[in-house]
Amino acid sequence: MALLVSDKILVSEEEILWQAFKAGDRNAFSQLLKTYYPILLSYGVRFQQEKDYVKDCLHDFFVELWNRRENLDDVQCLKAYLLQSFRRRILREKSKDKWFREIADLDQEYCFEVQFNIETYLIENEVKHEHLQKLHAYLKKLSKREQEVIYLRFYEELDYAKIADIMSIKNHSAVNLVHEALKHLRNHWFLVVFASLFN
Amino acid sequence: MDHYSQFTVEDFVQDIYFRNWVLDKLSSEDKFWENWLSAHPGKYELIEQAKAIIIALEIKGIPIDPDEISEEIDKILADTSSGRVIPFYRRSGFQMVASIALLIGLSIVFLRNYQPQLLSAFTENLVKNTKEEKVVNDTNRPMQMQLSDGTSVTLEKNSVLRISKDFGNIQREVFLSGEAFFKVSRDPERPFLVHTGKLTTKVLGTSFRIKAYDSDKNISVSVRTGKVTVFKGTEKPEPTRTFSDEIILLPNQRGVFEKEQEKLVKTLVDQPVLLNTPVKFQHFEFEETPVGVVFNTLEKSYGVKINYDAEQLNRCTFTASLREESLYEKLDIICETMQAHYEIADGQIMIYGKGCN
Repeated sequence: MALLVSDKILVSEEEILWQAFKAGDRNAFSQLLKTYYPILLSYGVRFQQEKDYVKDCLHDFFVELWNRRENLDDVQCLKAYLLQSFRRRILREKSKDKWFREIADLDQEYCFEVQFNIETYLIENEVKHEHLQKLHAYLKKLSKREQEVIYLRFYEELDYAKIADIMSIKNHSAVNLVHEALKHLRNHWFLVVFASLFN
Repeated sequence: MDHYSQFTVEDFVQDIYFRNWVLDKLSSEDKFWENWLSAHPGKYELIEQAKAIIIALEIKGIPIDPDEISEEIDKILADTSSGRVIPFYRRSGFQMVASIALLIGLSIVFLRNYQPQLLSAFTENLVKNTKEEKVVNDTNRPMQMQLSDGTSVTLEKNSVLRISKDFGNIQREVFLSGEAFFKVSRDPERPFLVHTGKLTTKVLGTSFRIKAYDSDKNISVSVRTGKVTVFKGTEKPEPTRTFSDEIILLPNQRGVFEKEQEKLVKTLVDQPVLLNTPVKFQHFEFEETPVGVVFNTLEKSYGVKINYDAEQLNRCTFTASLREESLYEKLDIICETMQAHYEIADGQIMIYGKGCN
């Protein structure tokens, strides 16, 4: 349970931070906030565009985390753990807001939206190229889950096991989601044309 | 480095090193990819595709104002602070280094001494015992104290701890009524004994919790680390003692003494915790893994023996990644996939199942 340096177990800085936090160390808490607050905020607004709403959620989330610190498990990857817990919370909060609607499956209702740089680029530069418009349309068509997986994989640079944990899906489902999205993209030969724009 | 020549477009897209090159995050001295490309001219188109996909999938960050963030952080810190908390100020570089060093130091201390409350004023009173000391916790929260041998005790509310007057001379003897968590300093020469009515707990150096309220029907001893001997009676174990009068408890095990029948049984704690095992045993990711291996991983991680009929279950496999579930939840999931169930007996887990086809 305790990670003792003398036992020759690799103790990452993250784990030290987490242990100190659990022991009630205020410096550790503020360090943790500084590191992870922006990450969680950035993730949260993908579910719920209203930033103030996400900030309220985050406030309650971290206060609760502090209050429950003594009962929290040891974690291997703090970032994945926090993303996962916060994801649950924000989906729960959102479903509460919609209490009047019957929701069989929370996940079917959830909304996740990212904006790709390329879309902004195409719009801002009024690119009329037919192929690039197709690419734009394709990216718009990515499912919520695909968008979230891409976000976690490429924006947060997490591995599949952690992504699967965060999204509560099977490991291979996470792999498949990314692969499908990539395969579709690759099948569009015009990407080469597009890449040349940026070189 | 030439595993890259086997890479597909998708592999390149997901390769961190390659991504960093495409996204201009490598140092300009790093010419690996330029060199690789000139060595593999046939890969040109593939690389271009991978580059294009990486660029196309770049996600736009949301604009975040650092002031806005630190304002929110301050708010959270203010709302979680209690009276004795050190306020949080933004630190300069030097202070930051100092605080990280402090942090590491503190964490090591905290890792060993879980402290719900700062050392109480009792600490000083207990430095040396010449007469019997009695500590009563009639406050509303756990009380933390340290005995003269370095042992730390967290005395829960409504509990009384008596420290014998010759504590530490030959052995270290205390008497508990109520509940307490002990973290005993290791000293093989002088055993540490906790007397709770008709039950005695004896250790050399370890951590464990005892619950022995007079009003409860039983006394329970839960072990966190190390090895604990629990026996009926108030004296040292005698040679005549029968087996059922004494049990040895290991981490995550619990001994329960039923006062009325004077029966001592071994079971598991409510929430087994992960032991201080090598990290590889703490990954619970299984894919078509034989259940024997799965059970073995759990055994190593929680230090709890799992018994099952290896022959009967030898065709069962398990696929899932487990993480934050408790040991019991993990067992529920595993058992469910193979229509089995488990029971806890004598501090061990027994798996009963028909096997798989």
